[in-house]
Amino acid sequence: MSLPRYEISLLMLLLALMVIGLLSYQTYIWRIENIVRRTSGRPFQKKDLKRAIKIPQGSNFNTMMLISWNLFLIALAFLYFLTPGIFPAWNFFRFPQVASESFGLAIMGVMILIPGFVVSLHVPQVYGYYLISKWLKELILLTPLLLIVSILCSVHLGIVYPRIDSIIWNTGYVTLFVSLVLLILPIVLGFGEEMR
Amino acid sequence: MRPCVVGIGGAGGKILKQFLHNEDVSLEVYQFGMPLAFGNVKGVWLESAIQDAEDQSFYGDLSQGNYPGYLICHGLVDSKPLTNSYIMATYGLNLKARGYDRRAEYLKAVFEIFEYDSDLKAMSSKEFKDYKNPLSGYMWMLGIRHFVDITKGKYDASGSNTGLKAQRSSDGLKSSVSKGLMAIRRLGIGEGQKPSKLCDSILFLASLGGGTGTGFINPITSYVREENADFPIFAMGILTEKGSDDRHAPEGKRDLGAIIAMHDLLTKESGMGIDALLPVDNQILVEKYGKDFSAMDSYIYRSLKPLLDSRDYPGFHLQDDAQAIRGIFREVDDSRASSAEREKEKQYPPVLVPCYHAQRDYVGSIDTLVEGALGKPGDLFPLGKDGRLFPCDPAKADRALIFTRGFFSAEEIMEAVQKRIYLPKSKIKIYRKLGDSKNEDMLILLRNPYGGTSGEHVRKGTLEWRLYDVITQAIDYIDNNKTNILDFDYKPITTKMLENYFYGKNGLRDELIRSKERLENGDRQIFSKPLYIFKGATPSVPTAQDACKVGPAATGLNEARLKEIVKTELKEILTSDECVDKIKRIINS
Repeated sequence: MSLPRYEISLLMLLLALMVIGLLSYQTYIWRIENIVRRTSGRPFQKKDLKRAIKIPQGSNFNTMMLISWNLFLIALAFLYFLTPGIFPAWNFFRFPQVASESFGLAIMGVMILIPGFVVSLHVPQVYGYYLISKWLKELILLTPLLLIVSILCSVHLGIVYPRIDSIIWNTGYVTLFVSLVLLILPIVLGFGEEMR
Repeated sequence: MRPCVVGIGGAGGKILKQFLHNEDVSLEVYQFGMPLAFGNVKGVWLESAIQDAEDQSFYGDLSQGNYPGYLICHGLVDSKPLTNSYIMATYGLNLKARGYDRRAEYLKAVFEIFEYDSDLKAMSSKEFKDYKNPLSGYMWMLGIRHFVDITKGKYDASGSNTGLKAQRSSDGLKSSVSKGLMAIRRLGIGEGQKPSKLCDSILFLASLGGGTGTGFINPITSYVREENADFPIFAMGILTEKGSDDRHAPEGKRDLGAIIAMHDLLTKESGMGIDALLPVDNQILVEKYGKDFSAMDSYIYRSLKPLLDSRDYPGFHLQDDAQAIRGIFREVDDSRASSAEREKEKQYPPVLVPCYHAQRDYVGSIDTLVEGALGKPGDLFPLGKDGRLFPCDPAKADRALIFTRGFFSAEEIMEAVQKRIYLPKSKIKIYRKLGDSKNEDMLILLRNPYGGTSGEHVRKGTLEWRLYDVITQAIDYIDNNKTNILDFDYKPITTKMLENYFYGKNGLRDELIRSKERLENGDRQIFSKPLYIFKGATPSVPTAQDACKVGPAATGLNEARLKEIVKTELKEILTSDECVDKIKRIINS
């Protein structure tokens, strides 16, 4: 089985971004914990610190983050696992009964939402540890729109398969990539501020 | 500390806007929750000028269920004119005055007549159900009470209260106000939400220029105190700038308003009035920002952020509970020389001068933060160079409450503050909040930073100097504007009482002269006793009822019968269509 290297490298780039986000978050918390331990004068547990540094971000923002992360997972899965072009052994078309259903794509989306639900329980609350400016919050609101564009691109590719349209795929990827950048931006910026 | 911030009047509303600025994003299609203000504070704007309230888009009508919302102070009077007609006919005062033209005495008189005129009290209670006073009662019950965790007194476990129930059942207002209130409750505090989500204190924001803001703090506080004597209530009063303002109101007139308000606020006994006054001098903000009022409002808001921030150091989350802070504000020194001095200190609310400074967290140190807030030792003038929001000598404070945001140890904060204000550790209270990795800031509340040394009124930059100037201006205005003060649309009884209040023996003028002497002598008690317009100015003050009395010999009727006839006649006149039309025409004109 030969894998298309171009798409896989781009997937690696997405994964690398996610790892950067995770590391930024871990380092940020670790540094804050160290500073607070040094200055607090009173012992505390990490969960107390996490409770203490939490900033309410607002119901609208939290809801949009929840939606965005779920859409992100769906968009990622659709882009890489809908057609056999990238992972011939792992794709939607391997399940012909579902793929030929009228609501096949919706079923796939719901299947992704099951692990997505677990992710969305944890990931959005991470934003509570950062001071996120209003303009950044408004910028991040673009994410669901970008992800919908990405999903539509993937759906189009699924419909026209076996025809391959690299422009559409690239558009789907770029919107997915930008969305991920926006989603982890508060975490990376917070880490940057803390490092300065 | 999570206060319900109550902006009163034009300036109060503009500053409050900063506090209630939504930190959440706004979605065009659907809002998933309530607007999120910094520190989760709630707030309401109380205004008397309907046009000003309607000419802006930030606040909606609170009585219609909008949040953030405004409440027109005389909203209750519109549909029920009897009490107001009586007040206009007897005193020449109007509950529906649109703005108060910087006459602090006007609103003071309005509220006092409800205290001392028993007929009016009875009439108001009858017309407005449970409200003794249709202005302050309305603002408290419908404007503020829903946002605060005031659990004693009339408040029951279901979250309702007797006044509100009565209000809900009142026919005229049921449709709009009750629906609005229910909507606010659902929006604001959520059905079944724990009381802890409500505000634990009230913070009034008002200009002390003599208008709406100046007049409403005390009456609303009195209403709150009837329910709960301990509920923490603080007031931030903004002294207007020197010279002429945008409305060309003379400085003396504004200073007179300010001094009447400060006098009233600072001579209410513990459990009767506010718990602390936080003065802000607009002149300092003018020095900092010119006439950029928006920047000034923003600065006032930012300066209180360390107090409002809920991100306490882990394990210290109860440190700034409003009740605990109230206790610190009112702490008394056992070391004071005389018990009388201790008693006075305990009795009257303190002045807390806010001093604020912020810096990037990679610039400067804790020492620069303290110096930015308090200024350099001995360097009190010119104003606006440091973070003092009211002129004062920080070294004279008898307590200091330090609110910091940043990563500092308590020891380094204590050391830095002690270097500057020389207080013992027991008199410095530190409240640390976590920083945001970008900025660090510090709010220092200096308690009573004045007194102790004579002659300080001539030292520029001290609190004594600024207050001395305000009092001097106020006295000048009283002396040179007798006609402007008394020759208004008042009825003779009001004019007489105001004359007593301003110019009578032991009236305001005399009290202000004595206050100046106290400032010159370095006394810690600037104002000595409360002053009233309709009570206490002279021992034999005639009331409206007394003034209308006619001896039985002159009429051949007994007093009770005479009263009955007058009441019946008055009722008929006041409720006649012709009279109502006339009153409407007068009001509209």
